[in-house]
Amino acid sequence: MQKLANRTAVFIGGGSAVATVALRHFMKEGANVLLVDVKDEYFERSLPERQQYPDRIKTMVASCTVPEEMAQAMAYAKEVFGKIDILCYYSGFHGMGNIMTVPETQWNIALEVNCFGFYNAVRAVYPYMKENQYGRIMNFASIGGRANRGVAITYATSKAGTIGLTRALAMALAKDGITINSMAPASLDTSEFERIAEKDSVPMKRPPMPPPGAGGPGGPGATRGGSFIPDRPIADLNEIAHVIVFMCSDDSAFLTGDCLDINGGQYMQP
Amino acid sequence: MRFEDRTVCVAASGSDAGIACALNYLAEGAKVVLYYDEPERVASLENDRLKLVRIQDFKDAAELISTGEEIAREYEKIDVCVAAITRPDSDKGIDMSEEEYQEMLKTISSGTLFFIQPLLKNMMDHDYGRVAIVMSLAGRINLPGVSPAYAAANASLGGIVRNIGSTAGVHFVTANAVAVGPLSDGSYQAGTGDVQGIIKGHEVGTPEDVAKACEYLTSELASWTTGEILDLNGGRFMI
Repeated sequence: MQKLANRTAVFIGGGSAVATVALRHFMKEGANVLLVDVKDEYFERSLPERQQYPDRIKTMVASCTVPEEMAQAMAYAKEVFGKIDILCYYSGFHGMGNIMTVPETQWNIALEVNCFGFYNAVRAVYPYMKENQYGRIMNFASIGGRANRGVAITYATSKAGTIGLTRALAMALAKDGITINSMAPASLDTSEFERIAEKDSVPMKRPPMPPPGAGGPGGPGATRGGSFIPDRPIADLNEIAHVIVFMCSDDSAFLTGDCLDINGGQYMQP
Repeated sequence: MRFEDRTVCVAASGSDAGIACALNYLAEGAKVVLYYDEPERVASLENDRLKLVRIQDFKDAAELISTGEEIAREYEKIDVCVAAITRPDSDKGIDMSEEEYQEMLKTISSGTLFFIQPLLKNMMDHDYGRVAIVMSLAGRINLPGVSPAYAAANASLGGIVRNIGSTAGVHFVTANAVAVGPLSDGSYQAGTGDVQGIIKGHEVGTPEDVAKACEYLTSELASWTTGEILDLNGGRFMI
């Protein structure tokens, strides 16, 4: 039995690598999907899927940081698919710097995209879910917001913030049968797709996180600990899509305000 | 059929959660071995792919180990192991007798460990396995009125999944838990406060909710989730 049969989903940041792989799973599970992203070029990643399912996948260019554009995106989803059951928020921004070096512009963008954008998207979709007294909302967070992973302060702060925001929104919308959860994966294998730099990002001079045991800010061991799964130092995107399907299906009907950790066991280490 | 060709062992005691798990895996095509100690819970179960195994006492480590070794020999390859072993909390709180305390700890904590242990060896031998343990919300947060023994027994299950996750991961075995609030069948009730969920129309979790969470955690694609606890409580954990 398909887990998302006849469900309609809106993917904000729908052109990301994760969203593209999740889209394949949503097609297999029977959903319709509107992909929303800031540039058309992001949708090139899902060209094969869009050609295979032209009636079940639509696209729209809109920004998560502009409330009016989120409202337009939800209205369009309702117009073409008749309802909205699921919102998946994939938009993200890393930024750069630490407590002493962070540029104000990067700090502001990270908070705008990772927190305010999610808030905008939920506010925009809420009337449609309230109407049906049903909704599933997934917010894509990160282990960077759960534990010290040596990531940029922009990322650590905004991802921790968006997990808190998820809980607050879950509390507020539970009365309308809407569940909201976040997920916090560790590093992902996106090598299937050509990298597209995040809008307004500044190229980094060094990787945000040194390899385990390599030292770095905080001294050796500050970022120790890798995956316990031998062939999986980083996640296969199909594993991430599996989590998203669970969070967006009726299988998770009693789950809200939670943050699911997918990290090969890294989070349980000191 | 998401679990076709998989062999799943489930331990069900004190709740219908394990029964719901067994039924869900059967519906998804698995062969299921169901350990039970309460005949009335399994009286209506019948399926060609279901083997019922009567356990006299989930506190008896020797019984669980010998049973597990026998099952491992019979099925050769065990893929999934789900432990849903619980007992009603006591209203005596800190005044529990030592005997009652031991009953609680040994059933929930030791029963879970020695159910899994012989099956885990089989999983590690063939480099694949998924372990899921059902525990109470009382093992995650303090619930008013909960007995220390119930809180300790359930919290200990989190330690078991993290230990399995870190020691058996090298054999591609993952282990996770589902921490539940009170279920609609009356099980996993703990403490004296209001611990209902907050989702309109779904304030109380069901054994089927637990079964779907276990399905998610024990799927092949859950291969990068290990040592984690899924808080399945309708949002109560936030409050």
